[in-house]
Amino acid sequence: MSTQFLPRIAAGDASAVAACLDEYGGTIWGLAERYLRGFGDDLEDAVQEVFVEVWRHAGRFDPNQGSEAAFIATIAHRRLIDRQRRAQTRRAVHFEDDGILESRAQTGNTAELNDDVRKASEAFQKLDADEKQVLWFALYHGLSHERIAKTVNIPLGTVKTRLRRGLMRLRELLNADFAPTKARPRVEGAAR
Amino acid sequence: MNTAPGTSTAMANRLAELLADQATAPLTPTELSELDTLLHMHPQLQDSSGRPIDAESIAALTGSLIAGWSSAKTAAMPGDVRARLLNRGLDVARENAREASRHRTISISQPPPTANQVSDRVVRTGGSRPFSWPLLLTAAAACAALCTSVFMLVSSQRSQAEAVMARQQLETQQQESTDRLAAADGRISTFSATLEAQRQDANARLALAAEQFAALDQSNTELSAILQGERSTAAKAVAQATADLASADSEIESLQTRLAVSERKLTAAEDRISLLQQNPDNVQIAWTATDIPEAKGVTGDVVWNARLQQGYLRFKGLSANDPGKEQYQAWIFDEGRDPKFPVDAGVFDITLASKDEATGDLIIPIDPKLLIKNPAAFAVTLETPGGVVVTDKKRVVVLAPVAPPTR
Repeated sequence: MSTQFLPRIAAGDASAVAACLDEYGGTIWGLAERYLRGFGDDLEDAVQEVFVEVWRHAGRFDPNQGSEAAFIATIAHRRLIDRQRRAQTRRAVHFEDDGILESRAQTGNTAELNDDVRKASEAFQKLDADEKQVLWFALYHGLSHERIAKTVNIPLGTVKTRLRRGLMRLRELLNADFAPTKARPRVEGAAR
Repeated sequence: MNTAPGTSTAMANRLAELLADQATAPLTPTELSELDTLLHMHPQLQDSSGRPIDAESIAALTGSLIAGWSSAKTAAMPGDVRARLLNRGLDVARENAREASRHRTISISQPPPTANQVSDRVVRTGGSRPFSWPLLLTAAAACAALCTSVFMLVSSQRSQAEAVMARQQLETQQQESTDRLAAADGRISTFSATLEAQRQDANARLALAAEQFAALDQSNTELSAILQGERSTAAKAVAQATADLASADSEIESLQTRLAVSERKLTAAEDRISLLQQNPDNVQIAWTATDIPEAKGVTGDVVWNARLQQGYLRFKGLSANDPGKEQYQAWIFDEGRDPKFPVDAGVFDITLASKDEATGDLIIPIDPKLLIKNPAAFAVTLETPGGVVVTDKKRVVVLAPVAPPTR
């Protein structure tokens, strides 16, 4: 994943579009399947919305701020959650921990990942089980805080507390390698 | 967590919380407004290591997690979807290319500054201007105004901070209320589920009872039908038995009647024979039939013993009478009495059963109501049922005049 497609797409390089789709298409399609499961939403429409926003805002990608994969995943997370909120109904879906509480890494072959992605995945495994659980439901399955509270059967306030504490602890674990010191451009929709 | 001078720790914590919340789920409009206010007041929030805490750094962190997990759980995008997405991407790339070209054109077409403009910049920066007291006074006044403004701004920020704190407390209370409400909802849901289970159980038992009742009702109906049939059969049997009994009674009565008649016939015939054999002073006269239709072909005789005041009428060929309409009545004309008023000698009926089966004779005992001294004649008339006291002699059937005694 060392190759970066977004700067080329921002410059109008049409050949990078197909390469970008090949690189991230399956990832975003799988993410959309998980996030929109039970909502009856149109997966193709959702995935197209994600990629069009990625391509249009490709010029805002800053390699110093994070990896291209993280940039695309962040946009996908926000767009898919927005679509969840717009969906009118949701069928009952049963969510599992998917083995997240096991000690082994959930990222497959970590050697192929970007350094920040790999480090984040490894740091995640060092969190407490309850922190990992709520982060997993929020980011992997795209569940709302209320939905997590019902699924895990804990109060909503506890969900928020665990999410905040988990993210802050992740920052601390990645402190040496993660945060750049210079000012960063804002990601679209990050702080409204 | 490090904060800028004048920033409360609580507000900084709240800002960090909202940024973390935003990274995992959409914020409510209220939270977004609060986040904007806090970002405006604390644009440079840092953690304990001096690293900036902002939406971008947290988003990059969550994005890395999502990207890492998702890379291990990819799904095959359908080929036709990929083709349509590719076309859309090519359109976007072309738009990007046009946009990039336009930016380059604007940059290239920007004219270089003129000498006057450069001079003006220099003037505004004050690089080569001579010292001026009026300018200094003006600057001092401006500084004073600026200090006042800064003081007011700080005061305003503190008020705003207090308002944010108050809102934060309200948010916390609201959150606690929401949690309690959720817990109450959970209990209500459990109670509702219990009630629903009880209701279903009651319905099931009700259905079972209804089914058993229906089965009983059906059995009852079948038993009623069977009972009705048995009752009908029994009623028919009883009716038949009653009819048979009535028939038997009738037959018995008929037999008894016939027996009585036979006995009477036998007795009367025996008595007559005995009277004839043992008493030579009997009078025996043959009947003479009259010309009325009932007398046609009638024969027989009358035997009378004056000493014994006993006698018998014997008929052959006398028609049977209907007792409801008329009866035969015997009369004795006594010489010592008025011939207009013969002595009643009894009422009798002639039926088929009263005849002697062997001879066809019919024997009737004479039953005189008065003492007969010297009978002149015997007669039989047809009269109204029960007989009459005085006959009008209009329907005389047979006569038997007694011949005067030879001297």
